[in-house]
Amino acid sequence: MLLTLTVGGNALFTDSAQSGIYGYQPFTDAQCVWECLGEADGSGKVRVMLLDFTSSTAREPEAKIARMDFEAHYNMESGEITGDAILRLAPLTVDPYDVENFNAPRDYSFSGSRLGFSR
Amino acid sequence: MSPPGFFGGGIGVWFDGRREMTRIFKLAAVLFASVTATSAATAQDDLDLSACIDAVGSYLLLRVEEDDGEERLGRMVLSLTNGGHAFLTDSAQVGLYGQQPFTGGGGAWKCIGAEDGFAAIKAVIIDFTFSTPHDPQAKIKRLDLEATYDARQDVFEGKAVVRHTPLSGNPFDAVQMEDGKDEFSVTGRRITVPD
Repeated sequence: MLLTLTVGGNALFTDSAQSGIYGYQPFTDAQCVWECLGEADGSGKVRVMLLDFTSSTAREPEAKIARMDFEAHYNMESGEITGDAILRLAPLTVDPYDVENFNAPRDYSFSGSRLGFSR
Repeated sequence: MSPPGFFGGGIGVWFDGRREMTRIFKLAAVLFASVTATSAATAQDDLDLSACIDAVGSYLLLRVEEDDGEERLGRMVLSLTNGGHAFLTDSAQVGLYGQQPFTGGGGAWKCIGAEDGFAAIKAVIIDFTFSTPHDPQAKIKRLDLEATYDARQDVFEGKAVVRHTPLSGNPFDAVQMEDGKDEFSVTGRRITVPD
């Protein structure tokens, strides 16, 4: 996965599984917003909300909206980020804030490192 | 109930008294100013992005198109950065209704009018289409968006024009554009991180 957080609060997201693997529908890049939950001494915590769209497959013909919520800790000195993701899916026209209209969430953890020209 | 601007909303649904009239008058003022500015000005005279700081953010948009009496819904996420970049993700990227599949889009936006919580913007967003048996030539797709964002009411409204050029063509050269264009309206609201 590639997660980009802009100074202006935008979040952009690309996933290696977008082609649709392990029986899941293919899905688009995701975009949305992030906010800082606190920072001190070069480390901090962020919350990210991402939205993308899935596409119909023979096995699962209904296109959906996907909402992903991240909470992650980062360390500027080491360049490491670790976090937890919650993925929810709902019919395409559902309000992404109405969590009760989404299916049961799936959780996973992630870790990674900040990209730069020198490490 | 869904928040305003999400589904089936739009201009007609919004008329609810003096506050709405104020919104419409301000919108008209911003649009008049932006039209005046764009007709008389060169690119160097465009407003600084900071004048439209209220527009920086990400928006969940709804597109409603009619085709032979059939209503086609689509949703998009549009991100406008404070550096002037624009990014677009579309629920129709897989290639629906006989259209070619296409990638996420990237491009630029600019401020063409701003007043007291209203921002008028233009964006141009480029993506690439993929070959299909029905339409084997991959293309560049150019989407031009003119939109306003009312930060007080959290209403984003815009009109988009989509045109294509061959993959090796120049999407900024009108001569190289294919005949025909698609036009649609979008409406939506800004996305915030939930608590």
